[in-house]
Amino acid sequence: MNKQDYIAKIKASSISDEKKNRIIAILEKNELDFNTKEEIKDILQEEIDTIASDIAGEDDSEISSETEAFSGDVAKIQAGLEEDMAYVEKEMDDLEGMAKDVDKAFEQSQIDTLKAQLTK
Amino acid sequence: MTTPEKPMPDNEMEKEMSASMAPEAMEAKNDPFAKGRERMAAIGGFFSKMKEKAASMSKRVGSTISRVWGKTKSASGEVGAAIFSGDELAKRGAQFVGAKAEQADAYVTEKVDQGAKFVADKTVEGAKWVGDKAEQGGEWIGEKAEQLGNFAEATYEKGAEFVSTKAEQIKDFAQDKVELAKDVAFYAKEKTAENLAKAKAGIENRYNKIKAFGENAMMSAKIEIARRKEAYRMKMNDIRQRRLQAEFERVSQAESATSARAEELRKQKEKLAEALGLQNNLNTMAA
Repeated sequence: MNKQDYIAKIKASSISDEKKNRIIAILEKNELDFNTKEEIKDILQEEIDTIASDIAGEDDSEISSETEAFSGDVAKIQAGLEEDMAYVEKEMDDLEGMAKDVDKAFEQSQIDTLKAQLTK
Repeated sequence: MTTPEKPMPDNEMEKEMSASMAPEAMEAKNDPFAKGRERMAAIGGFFSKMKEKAASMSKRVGSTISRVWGKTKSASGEVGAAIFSGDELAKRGAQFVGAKAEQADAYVTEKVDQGAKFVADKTVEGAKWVGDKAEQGGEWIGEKAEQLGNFAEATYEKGAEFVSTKAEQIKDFAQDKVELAKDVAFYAKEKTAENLAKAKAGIENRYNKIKAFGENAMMSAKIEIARRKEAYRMKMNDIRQRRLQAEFERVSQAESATSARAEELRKQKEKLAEALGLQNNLNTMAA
C-alpha cells in the first residue's frame, strides 16, 4: 500500500471527519516517515479511545499494572535522553569556551601587532 | 464558643468533589484507560521541551562561533600577514627596541607557559573524561542493545545504528576534544594564520558532530518510546476489544443479538477493528 492508497482508505473509513481531515493534512504535508506514522497512530488511538469507553470491565488491575510498567519504562528512556542531552550541553559549553579562547588569542594577536608596529 | 467543625467522612468528601468536578474530569476518573492516555500525551510535551532546549543551545553556541569566525575572517584577509607568532614578536622586540625586548620575552614566556598549562589541564580533563565515558558508554550500550532486541527493523535502523555506535562515538569525541584543546592552545601560543585556521576547522567540525549526536540521541529515544508505546497500545486495545466482545455476548444473550444495544455494540466492534487495521497498515508501509 502506498501513501495515496492509504489516504483513500482513510477517506472511506468511518472515523470522525475531524480526525480524517487531520490525518489527510499530515499525509499531504509530510513524507511517510517515522514521525509522520507516529503522529497518525496517535490520532487513530484518540479515535479508538472514544470507542466503547463506557464499557466497564470486571477487573482493572491488568490495565493498572500495564500502565505502571509503561510509565516506568518511558521514564527510564526519558532519563536516558536527558543524560545524553546534558552531555551534549556540557560539550557545547566547552566548545563555546574554546571558540572564546580563539577569540581572545586573536584579539591578543591584534594587540601584539599594534604593539610591534608602535615599537618599530 | 464555636463548635469545631467535624471532619467530613471520606465518602461525603468524595460526593462533594464529584459534584464539583467537570464532566470530562469525571469521565477520566471513571475511565481505567485515562491514566495511560495522559502518560502518552505527556511524551509529546517532553520531546518538544527537549527539542527546544537543544535548538536554543545549538543556536547560542553557533552564534558565538559565527561571531568569532566573522571577526577573524575580516581581519585575517586584510591584516593576515600581520598576525605574528609569539616568537616573531619577541624577535622584533629584541631587534628594534632593546628595552622592550625583555618585556616581550617575558610576555612570550608567559604565553608559552599559559599555553602549556592549558594543554596539560585539558589533556588531564580529557583523559579522565575518556575513561568515564567509555565505561558509562559500555554499560549503556549493553542495556540499550538488549532493550532494542529485534526492534532494528528497516524503519528503526537509524536509531539502532546510533545505539550500536554510541560508545564508539563518545570515545572518538573524547579523543577529538583533547586534540582540539591542543590546537586551540597551540594557536594561543603561536598566533599564526595556519594555527588559527586549524583551530577554527576543528571547532566547526566538533560543533557539527555534537549537534548530530544530540539529534541522533533524540531520534533514538523517540524510537525506543515508540516501540514501548506500540506494545502498550496493543495491550490496551486488546483489553478494550475483549471487553467489547464480552459485553456484546452478554447483551446478545440477555436481550437478543438484534436488540438496539447489541446492534450498537456490533457497530462499535466494527469501528474498533477498522481503526486498529488503519494503525497496523502504517507498520507495513514503506516510507
